[in-house]
Amino acid sequence: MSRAYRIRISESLRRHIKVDDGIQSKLEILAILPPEQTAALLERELEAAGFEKRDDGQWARVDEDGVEVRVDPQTATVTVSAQAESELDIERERVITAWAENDANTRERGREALEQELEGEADAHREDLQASVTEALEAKLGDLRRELDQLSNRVTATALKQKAASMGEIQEISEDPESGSLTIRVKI
Amino acid sequence: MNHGPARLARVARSEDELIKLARGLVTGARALPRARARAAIETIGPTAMALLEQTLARGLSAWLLRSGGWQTRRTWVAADGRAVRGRLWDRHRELPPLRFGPASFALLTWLHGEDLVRPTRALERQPDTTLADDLLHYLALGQLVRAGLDFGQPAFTRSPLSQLGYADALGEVLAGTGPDGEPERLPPVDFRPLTTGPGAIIMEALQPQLAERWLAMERRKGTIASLDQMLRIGRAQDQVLRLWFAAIDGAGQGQPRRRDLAGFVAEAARELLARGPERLCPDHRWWIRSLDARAPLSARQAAFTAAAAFLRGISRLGLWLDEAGVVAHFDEDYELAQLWLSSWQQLRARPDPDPAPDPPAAMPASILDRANFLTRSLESLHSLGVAEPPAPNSRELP
Repeated sequence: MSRAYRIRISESLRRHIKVDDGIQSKLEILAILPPEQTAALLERELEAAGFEKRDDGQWARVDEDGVEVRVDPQTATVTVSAQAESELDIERERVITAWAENDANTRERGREALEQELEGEADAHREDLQASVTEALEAKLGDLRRELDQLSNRVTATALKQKAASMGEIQEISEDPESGSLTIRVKI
Repeated sequence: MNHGPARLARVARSEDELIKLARGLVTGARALPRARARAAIETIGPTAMALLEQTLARGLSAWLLRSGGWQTRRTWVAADGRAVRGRLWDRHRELPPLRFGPASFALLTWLHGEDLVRPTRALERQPDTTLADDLLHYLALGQLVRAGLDFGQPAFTRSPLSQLGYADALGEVLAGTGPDGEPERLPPVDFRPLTTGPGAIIMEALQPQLAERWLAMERRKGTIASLDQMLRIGRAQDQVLRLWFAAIDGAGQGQPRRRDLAGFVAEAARELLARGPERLCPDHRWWIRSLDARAPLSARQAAFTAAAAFLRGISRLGLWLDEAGVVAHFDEDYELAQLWLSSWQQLRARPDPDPAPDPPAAMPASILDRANFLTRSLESLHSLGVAEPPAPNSRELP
């Protein structure tokens, strides 16, 4: 008659998990002035909006929620990104049954199953972290879109005024902040 | 003299099956065998080979004329050095002879002898594949795709005509990952043989077919849920259009540019983006309405950008129209430029505004402007974030 043996297996998993998410888009700025003048106008608006110039020429701002917004004024490219990190430290113990003393195969199978379980937990943790980063970024997008649209409109409006001034004498300017429309009367 | 009836040619049963398979492919009938043949064919006799060649040559010629050659079009005829209007046989003094080589035989025996659900033997691309062989591959691929059978074979993925007609299916079937960690790309092919001589004549006949195919590719996008699938399709479309445009634009070496061979893009664009009593140009959400909205934003944006691949292709025609508009009457390219302008002027047309548009007319008036507007919408931050419901009538496409 065979006899049952209890094998105690313990495994641990330590992992540094880092996830990020990000998108890239272009600001819709009409080409009214030469590119370098438009870039200068954009830089002025970015500074006013709390952006700081980096060594690589890009302007960046990190908001309270950890979302970083970078703008390249030369190409009018906006990059919005967020990231999160987490230290994972899991320990598990499992008791399995074997039918022979020192049953290495059963012990190995048990260890592999436990490892897989820990890997599954780590993956689930990574997915949760990724989802939270995406959620934060998504929540940010609504406000950011509005802010960037307004910023683009201001740059376009300033560019229009400068262009109009270079064409003749500006007699009247009327702006509707609600619709974003701008009417300039110029005497040439 | 013997005036009796001609003797019927006699062939073996397996040869008869092969000839019937060929006939089914070129007539559009359901041709693919449901089960693997008991014995694979390696050679056939001279009588069967002659019948096979005759079936393919006559059948494919008839198919080309039926599928688009009959249409009255205006195309550039290099032999005459001018644009000519008429049906395919009016425009060209001689239609291209269709010569079949070992690639067609390999294709037919593969279709006849393989398990088409799970093939055990790969169908390789033969280095000496002729234009006629390639056309037969195009037809066979169409049947395989429609029947839901396996078509991820090098003979199809490396076939220029197959890539032009089935960029979506071939892009999707490449499930691997490239060295850069990105989804595997379609192998780049040389489209130049299709831009001059017999290749260009075949492409003229295929324009309506290709327009239908590209329209079907776009209509299918709205049903796709997987971001990865959309990414693969969009990248394949981008690549095929980019290489095709480069080939027809740079025909060069003394040959005129054959931009008119991108007419299928214009035709599909008109069907997709025109508005009218029976049509409704969709808004950008129509392309992405079924995509997984829970994925990371970076993955979503990549898929949205991929969804706009065809729309980006349309904008190339706009650039060509701009260029054609400034070609002076004394320039060498004047007649060619006028051909492009007259063929694609509808893309620029701005119909009278609808007095009571439904939904409100945020969409630009011309097809070209709409393509650009929709591309920008799909690529912009505005298409990301919390999903908005599709416009109520954005699905009412034909």
